[in-house]
Amino acid sequence: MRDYRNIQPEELAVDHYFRLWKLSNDTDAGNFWKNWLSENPDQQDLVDKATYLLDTVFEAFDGISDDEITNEISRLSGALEHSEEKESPRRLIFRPEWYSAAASIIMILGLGWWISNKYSTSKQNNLLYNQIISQIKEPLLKATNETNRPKLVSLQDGSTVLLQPKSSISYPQAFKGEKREVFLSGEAFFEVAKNPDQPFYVYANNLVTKVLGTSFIISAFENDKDVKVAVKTGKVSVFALTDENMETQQADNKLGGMILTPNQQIVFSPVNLRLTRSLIADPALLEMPIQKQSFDFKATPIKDVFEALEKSYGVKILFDAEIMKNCYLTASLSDEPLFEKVDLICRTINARYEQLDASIIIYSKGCTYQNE
Amino acid sequence: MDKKQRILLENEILLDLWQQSKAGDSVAFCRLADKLYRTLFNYATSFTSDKEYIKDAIQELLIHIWEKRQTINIQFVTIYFLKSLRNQLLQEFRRNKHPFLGIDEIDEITDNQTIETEIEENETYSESQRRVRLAINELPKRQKEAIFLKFYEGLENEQIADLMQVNRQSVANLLFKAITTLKSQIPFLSHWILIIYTLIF
Repeated sequence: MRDYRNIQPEELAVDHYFRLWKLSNDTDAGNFWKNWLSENPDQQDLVDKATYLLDTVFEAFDGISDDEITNEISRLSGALEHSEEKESPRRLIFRPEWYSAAASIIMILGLGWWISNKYSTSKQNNLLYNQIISQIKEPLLKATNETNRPKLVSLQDGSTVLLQPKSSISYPQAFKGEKREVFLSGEAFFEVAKNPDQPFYVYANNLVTKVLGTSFIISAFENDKDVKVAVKTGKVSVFALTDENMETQQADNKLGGMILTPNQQIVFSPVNLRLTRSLIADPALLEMPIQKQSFDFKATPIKDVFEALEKSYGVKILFDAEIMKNCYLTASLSDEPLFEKVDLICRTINARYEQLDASIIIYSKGCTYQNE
Repeated sequence: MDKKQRILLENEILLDLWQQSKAGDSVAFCRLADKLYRTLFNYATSFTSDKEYIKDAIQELLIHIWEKRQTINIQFVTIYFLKSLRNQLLQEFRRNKHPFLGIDEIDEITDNQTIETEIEENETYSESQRRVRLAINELPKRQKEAIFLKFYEGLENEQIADLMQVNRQSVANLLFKAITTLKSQIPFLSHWILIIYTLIF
């Protein structure tokens, strides 16, 4: 190891091992430097100065936000796709107004919310969808719902997906990377386990939905023209992965970027790249029972609680109604994933559960009055 | 793991994405671009403070590299992209496609208005950080570029010399001048500012 005692702050600031600690948060490097400092307390000043220099340089050169980068990359993705379709690729020049507007769409992050979107699927979109799937290194599992009832799919991170009829979803067995990424065709209700460090992305054709938590709906069937995103609670982040007709639509660059709050919806028309915001005028948008379902229970008999869950999630919950006839639940459940809900319920009534295929089995010794 | 291995490993990951890109995987290319974007963008701010101009330039560069991917052989990914961006920017400046100062008129201060706007936007920064930012932004462009490559990217003087197409001694001179200026303008080596700094953190 190099002798760090006799160097200048600007030398220390470019030392690789020092940068590993400061810039990459490397644990080994961190331990080394903490040790080194405790052995060389007189060098605290040196470390402070080098740190200050690094912070300063990074601060001074920090000129672009994560969202701007995301937007530029999605712009690139669109352009690459475009250039591949052509015999002689031509470079696309975009108008600045267009993408500064687009950038602001991306900024929205959500807690409890649902979204619904519908839009047409062209061959190019399918192409891109396949490309994104091919980027995932882990083998993807695919669940398809060919029944006419919702089908529950549980993901490795604890998130659940209520897959609607004629829909399919591809997902990795385990989420290993920085992002949790799944691919939807059709319609599904998501309840995403909270993990701000590993945001959850749903790709549905040319629309990307980013989630930090927790619940929302996407519908992306092939025959609908417009994409609709509607927010029930919280905020959402939705952006186009690519846009067709970009070149011809250059002149029309009014992509109104906006933040969606509850009871607002956004309609995205892939044909003319227009985004319009409005209040949710049509309550018929709330088509799935689970969207209307509130899980507020006040001294509710447990069998009614389980019935509500069965109905909403299309799962079978097996329990001994006789033993549990004295069990009541007072709880306000919202957008936790199904199994989290069941777990909470079980804790409350002193029971436990097991998941078996599409069924949930509840084991309980019954409730006494103390348990209410 | 020593420095060289670590850098090789990082380069390895990028190279892997590049190889996939070369084979025609545009999504891998987008991932690669995503990993490099911030560095490229921030590097370009050494040349101009026009953000939209930079975004367009990078976009153009990335598409160009994508289209030419079959003929490009890359050994060190980040350096290759930085160098390509530099060449492109300088070419465009020479062709005067952009009403910005050429690299030869480097001692001019960049767009002050932008700097001030940026600073206003970031009111959370302390007074000392604000001054530091200003001081770095007011460095002559080549010094600013050298500072970026040295302290932001952590490159060796030799790599910087290669990128900036000057000899090593010139790099050392540029860095020396820049650091001297920074030391005098922002006394980050003087006592009182460190006391402030310690209080903040």
